[in-house]
Amino acid sequence: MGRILAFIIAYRNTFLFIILQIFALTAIFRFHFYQKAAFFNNANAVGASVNKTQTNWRNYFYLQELNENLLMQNAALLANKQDTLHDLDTANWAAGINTSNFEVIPAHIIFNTTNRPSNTFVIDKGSNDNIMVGLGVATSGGIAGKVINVYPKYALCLSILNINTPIVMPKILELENKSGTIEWGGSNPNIAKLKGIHKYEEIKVGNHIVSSGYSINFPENIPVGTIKTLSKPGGSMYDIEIDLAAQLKTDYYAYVFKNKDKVILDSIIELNQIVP
Amino acid sequence: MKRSDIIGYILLFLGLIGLQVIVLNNLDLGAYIKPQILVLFILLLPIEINKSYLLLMAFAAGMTADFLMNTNGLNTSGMLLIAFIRGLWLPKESNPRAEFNVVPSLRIMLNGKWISYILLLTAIFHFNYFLLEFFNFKYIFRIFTVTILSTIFSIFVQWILFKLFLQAKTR
Repeated sequence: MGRILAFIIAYRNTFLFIILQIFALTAIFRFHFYQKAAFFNNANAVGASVNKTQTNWRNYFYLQELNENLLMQNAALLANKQDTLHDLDTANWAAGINTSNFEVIPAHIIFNTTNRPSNTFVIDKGSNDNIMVGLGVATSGGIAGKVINVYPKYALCLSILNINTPIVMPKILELENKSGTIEWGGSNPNIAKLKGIHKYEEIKVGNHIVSSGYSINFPENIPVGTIKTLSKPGGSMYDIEIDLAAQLKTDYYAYVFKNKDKVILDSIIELNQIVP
Repeated sequence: MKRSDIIGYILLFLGLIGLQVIVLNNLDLGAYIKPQILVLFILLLPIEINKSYLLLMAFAAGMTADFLMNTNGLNTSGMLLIAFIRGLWLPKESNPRAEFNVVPSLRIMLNGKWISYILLLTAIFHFNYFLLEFFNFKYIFRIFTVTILSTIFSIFVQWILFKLFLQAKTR
């Protein structure tokens, strides 16, 4: 017993290092594999207020752009009161989608990164405003991410700009319900790749990618992006690059979608152990 | 450690974290240049400090940084690693003479040995950081590229800091 104690004392720094390192690695891997942010994040009150101040300053540089986007969205909403096919090019997707089954909660993005492999952002609505883990978030441009951690006044979201987790199941609007998967390359915040579209499909540059109706977290037809380049490499699939609709670098206004039946749907999925 | 030194190190830490969060994270130099300069705090802590305290300080400093930058433990892991291995490059005795040349303090003289100490440990910190951040074998080439470019930029920023604040008066 005494020798074990002596051993521990002799190597106490190594043990201390290992214990603390395990603590840090746990946080990293929880985020990588389960999309759960553990101890180190700033969506709680103190960190968020620091970021809020910083974002308030930063937003002065983007005020004009933000106002113009809002103005366009408002104008489009006024012009498009009828339920006509929406014009996806003018950031007015709100006019064309069917949100009858969804509650839309407006929020502000107060902290945002775009240059990491897995980006996150913080919105200023939390469990006090009925935000739950898993809800979808869009900016005035298009789909932005999903909520992964909730605090009373703030929520942490995983951005669509991440290399691990697909946020949304997309489809091509011009081709009836042709769906694929979105993969972000990890470097350019405006560009992503659309995978899984067969070469015999007739698609064109400029076609619109929107959310499909298969998700309980997003309404149908919210823009994801437009096809930028098309090429046919060796395999059986297209190589497609898309321009992302959400401008996560500058966007400040966000909308959280809450399915009115989310609690019931979640419990059905959990009871029947459906893997999403 | 003298009281003025303690205040100096606290100011150094606040300055580094401010520079990182307010300036470097907002510079947006693209996906390949992401300098992290907080490691300089660990590199400059005095040699006579107890290693257990050093590890705990690295942990606290890393946690503060992660908390402010939403990095989920990436800084904590790197700071701990550097605090654990930096002793390999430092002289063993507690009060070394200047000939050893690598004597961490707030007033340092740059020379070859110092530069290799700073360069190597900064590179290790960046490699650890990006390896854990990507954590995907698909991106292994990318991890190396980002590490090299970010280390170069980070050394450049550190050199400016040396010239402005940390250079010792000529002896």
